[in-house]
Amino acid sequence: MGKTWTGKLALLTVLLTMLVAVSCAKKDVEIDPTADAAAQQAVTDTTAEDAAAADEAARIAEEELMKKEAEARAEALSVFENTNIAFNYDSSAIQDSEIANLEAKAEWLKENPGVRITIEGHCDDRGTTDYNLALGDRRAARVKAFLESLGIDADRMVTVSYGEERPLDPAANEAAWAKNRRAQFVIR
Amino acid sequence: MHTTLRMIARLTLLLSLLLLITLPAQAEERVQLRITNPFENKTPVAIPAFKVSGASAEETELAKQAVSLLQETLAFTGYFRMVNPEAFLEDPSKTGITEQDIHFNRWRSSGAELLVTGSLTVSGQAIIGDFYLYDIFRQKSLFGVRFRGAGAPETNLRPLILKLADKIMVTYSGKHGYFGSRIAFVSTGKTGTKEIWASAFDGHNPVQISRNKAISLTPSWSPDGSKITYTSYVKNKPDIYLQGSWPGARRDLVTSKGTTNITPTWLPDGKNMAASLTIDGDQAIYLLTEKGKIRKRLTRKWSKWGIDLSPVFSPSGDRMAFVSKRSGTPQIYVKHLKSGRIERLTFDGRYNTSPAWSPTGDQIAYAGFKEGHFDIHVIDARGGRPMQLTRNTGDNETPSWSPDGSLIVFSSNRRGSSSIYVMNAYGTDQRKLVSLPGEQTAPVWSPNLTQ
Repeated sequence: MGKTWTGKLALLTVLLTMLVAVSCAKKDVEIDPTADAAAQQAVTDTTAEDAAAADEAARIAEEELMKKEAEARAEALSVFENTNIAFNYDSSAIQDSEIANLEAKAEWLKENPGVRITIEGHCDDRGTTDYNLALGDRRAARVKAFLESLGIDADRMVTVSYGEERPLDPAANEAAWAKNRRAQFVIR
Repeated sequence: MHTTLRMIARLTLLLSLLLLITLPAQAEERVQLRITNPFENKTPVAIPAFKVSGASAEETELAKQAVSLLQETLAFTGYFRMVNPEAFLEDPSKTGITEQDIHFNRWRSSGAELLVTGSLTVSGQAIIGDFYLYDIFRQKSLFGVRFRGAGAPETNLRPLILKLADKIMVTYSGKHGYFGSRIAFVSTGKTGTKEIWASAFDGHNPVQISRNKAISLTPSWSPDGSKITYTSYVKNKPDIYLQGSWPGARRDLVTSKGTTNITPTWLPDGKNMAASLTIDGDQAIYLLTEKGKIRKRLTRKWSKWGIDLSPVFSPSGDRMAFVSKRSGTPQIYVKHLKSGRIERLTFDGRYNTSPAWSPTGDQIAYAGFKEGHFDIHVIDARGGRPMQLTRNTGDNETPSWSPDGSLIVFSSNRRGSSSIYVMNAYGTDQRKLVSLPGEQTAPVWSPNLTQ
């Protein structure tokens, strides 16, 4: 936007200067044509240079802006994909500590209206395989319902349970188990 | 001086209290086993070398295998123990296998109560076996039979010997054995992905049944043993399939209706199925056909986020046991299908799942979480106090009964990775059943198939 405005001004200046230069050159041919022409040329050159420099600066500024915006978008996408929603043992309830994360997810989904997602429900391996398949489903379903309540269209979201079949951390300790009890987001 | 004495007194008191607390529990446990466990006093059986009609090395080898297999099979039941051949004072393969050739007093000295003698005739096209069972105390023959197996001896020996073992079981207990039955289970085996496998009842010849290249879980047998149903991620979500119970059999989709379709089972009628599906928001149990047509909802919607799963039916089909979170944690319930009445079965412990209904007695085996790990328990289907069968040996899960209700197969990670184990219904004689690479879980015992 800035570029066009600056560009147009620069062009206008050049044209006007050229017009003046041409008319002036014709009128003052007896007095001192070469001196004036040179002066006019110098003015033209300087103005053109300024215009070109201004152009370049504007272009660089725009590139920087676009780059920053792209980085911000990539960052937001990464946060969306890599932030998992955590759950308590044998529970599919949305914890208070996770609400902010879910609100951020809803925000991102609203800013990217074309995107469709899969919400995966996972469990730690301490329960039985069968029960964990069901629990994983409940976790994904509840996250989907929560996002719906925040205004996200249900059609954009699909849920799937992996039970305890896809742990993030195979270790047998509290930290690993907590990591595995999650709802994970995948962009389709 | 005084303080030392007081210290000693205190220590002695503490020790005595500890002893008092631990001793009675152990004594109670031992007494319980002695009174009620029929597997504690095993009947000693002598199985000397079988006679062979020819003199070839092949025949002698076959005869050796026959004796080994019979010994292993009878020992497997838990009712018999094999008398050490070093105690034998007679060799029927040389002195004769029929009643007039048997000197019962010599066999009594060996400690045996039963004696099996046999003679094999092997040809390229068949094996013929003549077998006798003797009661040593009563000094008489209980039966004499001739069995014939047509075809190559290597493939026919096993069915022939299992037939003999079954006849011994019928004679001994009045009931058939389960030597024609199979165990289906999940194995990561060679591929690393969980697939459905099956082996013979004794773990012999395990083969891969499913070729889904997708996580496959929770198998269950049809009442006639011809099909297996299971959950698989073939379409990247848990859906229910059924498949013939042999490698390469065709796989059919039962249902992919819900987001999560799990724990399928057949009803005893062999036509209808039950499974846990999310088709109405909650995870509930439905009655459905093999083609996936929903017939009836079996558990009501007690919560939007409810979980009901793992249905299993009583042998007559009048009741269904299942797992429900309706009281807050996973527990086992029994529903009377005619009246609709539901009773809670498990109250001990905060996580009880994997119910398995005994095919004979009115008992339910299940996996209960206590003190940091899962153990197999058995409880009367009408309610009562559970009996704990495994303890202090890692996680023991997914029990399943033999067709005659005498043995229980289950998964255990007591030695690291998960393997299939078997024990008798009183918890004794626990041993590994299947040897395969990878992890094995979710064993289920088929009905006894006609041999």
